[in-house]
Amino acid sequence: MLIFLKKNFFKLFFLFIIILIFIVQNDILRKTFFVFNREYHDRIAKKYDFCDNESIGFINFLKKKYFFKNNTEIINYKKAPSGKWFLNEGPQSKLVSNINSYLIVLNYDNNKKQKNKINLTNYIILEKYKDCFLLKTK
Amino acid sequence: MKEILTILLHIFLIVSTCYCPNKIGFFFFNEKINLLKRIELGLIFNFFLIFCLSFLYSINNLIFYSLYIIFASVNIFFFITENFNFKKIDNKFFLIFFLSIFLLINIILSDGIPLGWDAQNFWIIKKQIFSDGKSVFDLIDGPHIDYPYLGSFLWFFYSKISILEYEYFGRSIYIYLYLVSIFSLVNSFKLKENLSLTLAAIIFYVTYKSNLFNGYQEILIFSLLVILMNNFYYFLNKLKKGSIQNKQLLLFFFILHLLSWIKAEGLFLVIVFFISFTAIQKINLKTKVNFLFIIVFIIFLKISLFNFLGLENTIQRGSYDNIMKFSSLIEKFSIDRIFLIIQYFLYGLFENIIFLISIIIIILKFFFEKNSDYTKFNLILLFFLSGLYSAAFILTDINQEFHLYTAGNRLIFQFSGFFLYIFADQIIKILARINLKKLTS
Repeated sequence: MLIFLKKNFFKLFFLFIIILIFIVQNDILRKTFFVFNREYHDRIAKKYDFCDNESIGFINFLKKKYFFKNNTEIINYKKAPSGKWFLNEGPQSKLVSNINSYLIVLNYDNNKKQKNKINLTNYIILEKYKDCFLLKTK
Repeated sequence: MKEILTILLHIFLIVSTCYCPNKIGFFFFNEKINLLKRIELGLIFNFFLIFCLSFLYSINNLIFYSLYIIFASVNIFFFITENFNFKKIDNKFFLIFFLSIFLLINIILSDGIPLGWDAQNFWIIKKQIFSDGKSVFDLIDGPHIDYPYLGSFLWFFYSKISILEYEYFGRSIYIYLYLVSIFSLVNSFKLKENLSLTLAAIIFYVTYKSNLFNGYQEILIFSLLVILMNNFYYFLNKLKKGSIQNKQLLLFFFILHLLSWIKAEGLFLVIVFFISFTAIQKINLKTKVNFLFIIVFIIFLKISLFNFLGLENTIQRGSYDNIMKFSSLIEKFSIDRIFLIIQYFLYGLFENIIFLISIIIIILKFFFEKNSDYTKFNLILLFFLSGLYSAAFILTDINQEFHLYTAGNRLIFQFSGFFLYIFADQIIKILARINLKKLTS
């Protein structure tokens, strides 16, 4: 063993340094800790805004509370991806609810003129966080 | 804990199933090839098989899974029997480096690498079509029906075969392809292990960014181009009587075919590669004609399969719709637009050190080794790639600056896959000139 270590000291040292730099540079120890301790969907949701752009955080919050059909509509008033992929991703999307009248509205600004703006008074607001809503048809 | 164990198992599954037995490797290369080369070959075959099987998915899942399980079991068997004696494997530290980096990037990925814009809007939606149990014929209901789907299908397939079925397990095959391409490239120079480690570390640090794995398909194109060029130089250096054997051309067919099914521009890159290929005088006419048949077959296959699936044979719908209208074409050729392209091209070059250094090397070689086949090949390649870049942004219907800003660097990154070999070759020369006795002894 000692002979092996002596013989390959440079290679081992070099490898150790490269990998160590990579680990430190990318904060891998902390990330490993999160993989151990945080649930998958929460980890992913934290990488995006809660109620801005794709609003994955808000969708994640809704996913935990409600079961959505795959064809649940999401309207995002910001020029950003709708976040629908996150709703359909993972095991929850396989659980089909009987309710098909949910509507998720993201980045809705009451004071701003927005294209094809829906009228909130026509809906029951089930959840609200800043400009993000979960609505149900009356 | 469950997730970490699943990551480890997934890594084992990928490494062992994407493997090519010794004898098949010998068949293609006429010599015994080492472990990394067998892995590279296995990965290409694996992707090709998955592509072929994709037509069966959800139509006949029994045959789909049975065929893959047979293929994977054979590979796992050979992987274990041929590499059981770890002491006999060459370049152990190099392999340890490769596997460690693969594991570490997988951890970064599992913590969450946010998906890019296109990935959220198109690529993962295509992937979810398969996750919902639909077939390739249902792609017609998805976004951008003019885009190929192989990258999304691989994404779906590798997340499906993982125990937890999380989306990111699918993206770990992208990491694997990227690492295999650069490590196999370094390996092909047959350097001493110390030097291999140094070179692999340099190339890795120059090319790696975590957002390479944000679901965009450029990393697949880049990696496949690195593999393509690696094999191309290998066969060129071992050319006998100016001809490349048909079985070796078959290997090119696999790689080029995969390229054309990742992204729309893949087909253009295939054509650019072929044009440059014809400039090599060392290669005889018969090989060039055979190669032409391969290219025509790849184009024919893509067009006919797209028609068969009901997909659109257009170039990026919405971006080049007016390409055939003469009046709008004339409007697009203005000094301002050309200047903007040059500006972004130069900016892109300074963002991509591989491409920048390779261009400098190619230009210098043009002055010192004018008649070399390699120089001619690379010059023509560079010329046509610049043409492709210019055409993509001069003919665009969408706001040119926005298009350049969002796609320019990504296109240059893809192109740099063609030149990584030249870059690596130059680094070796520099390392040799520094004469690090300890490194090379």
